[in-house]
Amino acid sequence: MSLIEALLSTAPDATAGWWQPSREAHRVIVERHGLPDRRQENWKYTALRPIEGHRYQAPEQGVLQPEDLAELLDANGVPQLTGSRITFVNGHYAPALSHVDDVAGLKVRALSQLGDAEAASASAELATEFSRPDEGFAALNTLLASDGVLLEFSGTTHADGQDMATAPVVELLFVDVPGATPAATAVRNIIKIGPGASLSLLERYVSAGEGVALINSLSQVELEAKSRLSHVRLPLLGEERSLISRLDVRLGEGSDYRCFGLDLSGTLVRHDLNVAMVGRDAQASLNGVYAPRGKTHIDNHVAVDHRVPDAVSSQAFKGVLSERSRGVFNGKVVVQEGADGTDASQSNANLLLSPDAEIDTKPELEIYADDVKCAHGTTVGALSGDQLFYLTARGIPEVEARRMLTTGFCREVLEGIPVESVRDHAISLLTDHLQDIQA
Amino acid sequence: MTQNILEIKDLHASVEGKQILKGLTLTVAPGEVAAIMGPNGAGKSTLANVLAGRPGYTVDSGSVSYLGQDLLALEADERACAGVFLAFQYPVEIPGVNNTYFLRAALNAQRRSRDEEELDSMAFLKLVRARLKALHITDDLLHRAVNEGFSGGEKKRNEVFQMAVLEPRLAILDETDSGLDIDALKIVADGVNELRSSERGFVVVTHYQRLLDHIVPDTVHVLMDGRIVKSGTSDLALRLEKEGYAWIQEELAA
Amino acid sequence: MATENQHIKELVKRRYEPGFFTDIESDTIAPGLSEDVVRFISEKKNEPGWMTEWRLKAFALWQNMPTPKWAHVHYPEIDFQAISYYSAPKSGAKYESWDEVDPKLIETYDKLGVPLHERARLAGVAVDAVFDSVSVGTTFRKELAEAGVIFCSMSEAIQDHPELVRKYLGSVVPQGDNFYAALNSAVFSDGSFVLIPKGVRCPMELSTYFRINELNTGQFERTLIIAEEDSHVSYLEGCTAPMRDENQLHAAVVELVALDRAQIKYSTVQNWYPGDEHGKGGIYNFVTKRGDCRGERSKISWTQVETGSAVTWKYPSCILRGDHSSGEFYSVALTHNFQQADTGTKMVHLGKNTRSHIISKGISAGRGQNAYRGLVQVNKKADNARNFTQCDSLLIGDRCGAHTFPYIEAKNATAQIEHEASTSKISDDQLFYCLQRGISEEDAVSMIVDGFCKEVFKELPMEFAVEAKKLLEVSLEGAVG
Repeated sequence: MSLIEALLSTAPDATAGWWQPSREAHRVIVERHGLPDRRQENWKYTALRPIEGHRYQAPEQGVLQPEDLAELLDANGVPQLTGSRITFVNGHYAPALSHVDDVAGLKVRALSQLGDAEAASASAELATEFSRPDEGFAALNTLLASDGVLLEFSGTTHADGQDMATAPVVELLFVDVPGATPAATAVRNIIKIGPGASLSLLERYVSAGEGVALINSLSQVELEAKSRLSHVRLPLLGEERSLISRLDVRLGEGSDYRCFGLDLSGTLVRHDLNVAMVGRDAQASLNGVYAPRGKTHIDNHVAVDHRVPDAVSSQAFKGVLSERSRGVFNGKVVVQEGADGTDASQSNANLLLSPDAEIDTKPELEIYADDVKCAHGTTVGALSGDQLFYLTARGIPEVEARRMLTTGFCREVLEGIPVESVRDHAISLLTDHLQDIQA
Repeated sequence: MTQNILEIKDLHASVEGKQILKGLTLTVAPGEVAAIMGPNGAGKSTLANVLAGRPGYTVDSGSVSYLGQDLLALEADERACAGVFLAFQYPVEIPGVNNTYFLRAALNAQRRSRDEEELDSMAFLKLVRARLKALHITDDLLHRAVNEGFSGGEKKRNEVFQMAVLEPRLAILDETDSGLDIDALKIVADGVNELRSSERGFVVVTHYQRLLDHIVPDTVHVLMDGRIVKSGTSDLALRLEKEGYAWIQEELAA
Repeated sequence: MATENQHIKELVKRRYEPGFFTDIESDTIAPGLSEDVVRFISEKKNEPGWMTEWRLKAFALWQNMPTPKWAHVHYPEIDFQAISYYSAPKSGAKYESWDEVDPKLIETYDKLGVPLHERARLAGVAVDAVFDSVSVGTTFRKELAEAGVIFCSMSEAIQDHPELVRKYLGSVVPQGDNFYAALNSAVFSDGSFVLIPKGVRCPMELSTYFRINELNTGQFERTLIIAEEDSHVSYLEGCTAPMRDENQLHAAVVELVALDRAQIKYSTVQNWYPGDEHGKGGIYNFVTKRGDCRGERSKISWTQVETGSAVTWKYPSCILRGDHSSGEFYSVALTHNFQQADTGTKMVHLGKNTRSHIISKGISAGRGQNAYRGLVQVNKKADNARNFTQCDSLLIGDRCGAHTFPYIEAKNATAQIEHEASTSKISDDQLFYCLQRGISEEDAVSMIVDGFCKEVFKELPMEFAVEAKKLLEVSLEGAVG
């Protein structure tokens, strides 16, 4: 059974009527294009082989009790967070594991719970057509998604200068609990931040138990004028779990989006982060750390599309590749004709720690306007000898010095996370992870 | 007689196959501040780096005894743990590594090697604040990454501050005065003077006399072409300042 | 901004000086490509059987290859059956002495600034002049022969040095390497052949001057340069074509082989007809250039100034096979009006302690589209490989495009790779500063552009650097003010 056949077999039988037409349209697209392969430029460095060869099935739902979840989070070093949490287990909304704070303007619902009338506000997103041959997983997502969140926040206008650190926090928690058979799940999230509102979003994936699982996640995020969103993504994946995620973000005038990803584990992890600057003076800060080990493959594809003048975007991604792992970074900036005053920067730095590790990086610029500031820098290398000597000359043993430098190399990127507790958590995940890596 | 802190005998060392030190001999007693002066390219920085064990510096022959033990047999971190401190000429920037965190890691590594208990962050912070106060340095450098974005003066001040926290037995100052204005120079010199004690030896490597106005040395040694060619007291430094190095060359030739 | 755009429009139309046509009788075969055409070309050139077979194998490969579509360029599908694959001046291709060469040909090269006649020859530069499909003559042959250097046309090399051609032809760019290389391998007409023997430092610059003259012909030349152990050569290449409304295809292959400690410096000033200001006509320049640093401590350096052609698709590359070998790529590519360029390099690090250095300067004006595409690949056994890449783009006007597509693949933990890119425009501040000091806008622009390209120009041999600067000025006429 091919991968596509296996995945198609997990399609939900019956779904809400308002979702059905778009599912059927994407069935046609999926049948036409199938899944992407390495002949497509966007998949040149990522083969699907690691996730092939499994007879995927849609896993059971409702298998996790609140005390199980508490234990699971504890085991993953997740601290108690204040704020709202929406939990999905094996791709299905788990009301018993979720709570939403009473925050004015915050509306959080599972797609599966929406009535026809409420679904209207999600219909445009669900009907988005993913028809390019290289976006097969997004097309599949529309066809297969079992559930997901519709989050709308129209909270009070933030005072100018108000720190994003104090915005309300919402956590999206995706727990996968595969059974004896390999599990495939798909979730779809729609997030809308109203004019002037500020929100802090934490997107977390946690694996329970052993087993093979493939998660297909697609989120569509809309930031209206002058709104702000900080978005931290922490996939705490088990060794045999894979994640194919796509995040499409549209930034309205004067809005501010900051995204931080930390990828440390899994079999195959692929992120497509597409950011469209559709309003003037929008700002996007896209950041990521990847530190795979073992045979983990992590691929970050970032594309920023400057369609209007005077928007600012930055990409900062850092990778530490050890053992037999492989990293891929493809950062793209497109500045469309007329998007003058664009300021786009891009940086990707990599440390290769093992003779068997590999990094493929491709920082692209496509520029059709002349009054722009665009620059990128990319490096691949080993730890600096000068830095290493400085540390050892102060008495720090070499092994520890290497670890300190490796951690320092990455943590810079995470230090921009606005919410302190989330920042500390992300940094401690990174530090613990790098603790036993032979640098 | 008390044991010397440092005894260098007939040291030959090279960098990238090029011989720089050609039979250097030097002794530093407890409490002594020894200034090493010399023209550019004489081997001053090489000496500092060889003593600290920097990779790429090869000792071809000779010996270095530090408090009676063979210093050259130790790795760079083992030397630091044994109490050898190098204040760098060009302190490297290490983005992402917090200065306080770094210094505590260094101090605890050194304490571990002496079988002393490690300091927890409270105790460490207390120590750090005391040292800052003694050196009249503000605490803003604690919150920054190691040397990142520091001005030349701040970098050198950070070196002296680290020295004060780590309390070495032998401190080697490699051109600590280079690139400093007079105010920064005084702060650095005051810091060093604060740390002078009968237990501790200093090797102060410098190109100019002006640092020695503020850190008055017990002995002054002239390093030329890889060897100590003349030794004296602080008067020697003053004469060098006035007359340069040519007269020594002439004396040697005679 | 507005004033700047205004100036762009106001400035004079550029002139393409080499755009004339030489009225000379030619032997041109009917358009179309088949096995018979391949055999015809081979027969016409009186080639041995192995050469014919080699071409036929290439043709068979080509027939099963799709045209490459990945480059950032757009042009109508090429009808390969509408092109004539052989054209030669009728008066014959080989001359015993320069006096026998059709005076019209000599005149053509004179007009192009490449005098072939002995009394006017460029001092210190030996020239092989290729007119449409064939070499019309090579200067300074005697002097070069004395040094042991072989410098002749590819046709002659196949006749006179078959063992060398058999050994090296296709050893760097095999017949099936890519679509256009396969096409070239099947139908190449002529080109230059160079062998610098062991220990010889070539006493003068070698150069080839390519000229497309006939209508509806394609030009497919093939160049092979072999530098034996401890030898050294600097090679220059120039090219022009008449102004025509039709697009013409140029698909060349250049192969370089550097043995132990050998050094090859290959410089190109490419000034094929770029088409007019409406994007009509111009050359499709689809070229495969690759150097193989086969020996230890060998070095290959590519320098190119690309101002011509309607569409350029070329990636002069280095295979760094020998330990301690090094590769360099210096490029200025300018696109104006409707010109499109997708150019860059590949540095493939295979040996230990290999180095590569890439400097790319792209200038886009008018509606020109300019893309840098480069690959830096450090393979598993290439310990201590180093690469530095800098690619800068300069935009002149708001309707052009500048693109950067670097591919970096590192499979060795000792690799050190640095890539930097920037994009800028000629700022109003810079222009005003110059104006305020009394420099005209046009001069200011060429000064700024010249400064932007300096790092590359300094790699060119002197005479070429001057020509390149002038060429850039002419090509930019009408672009700015």
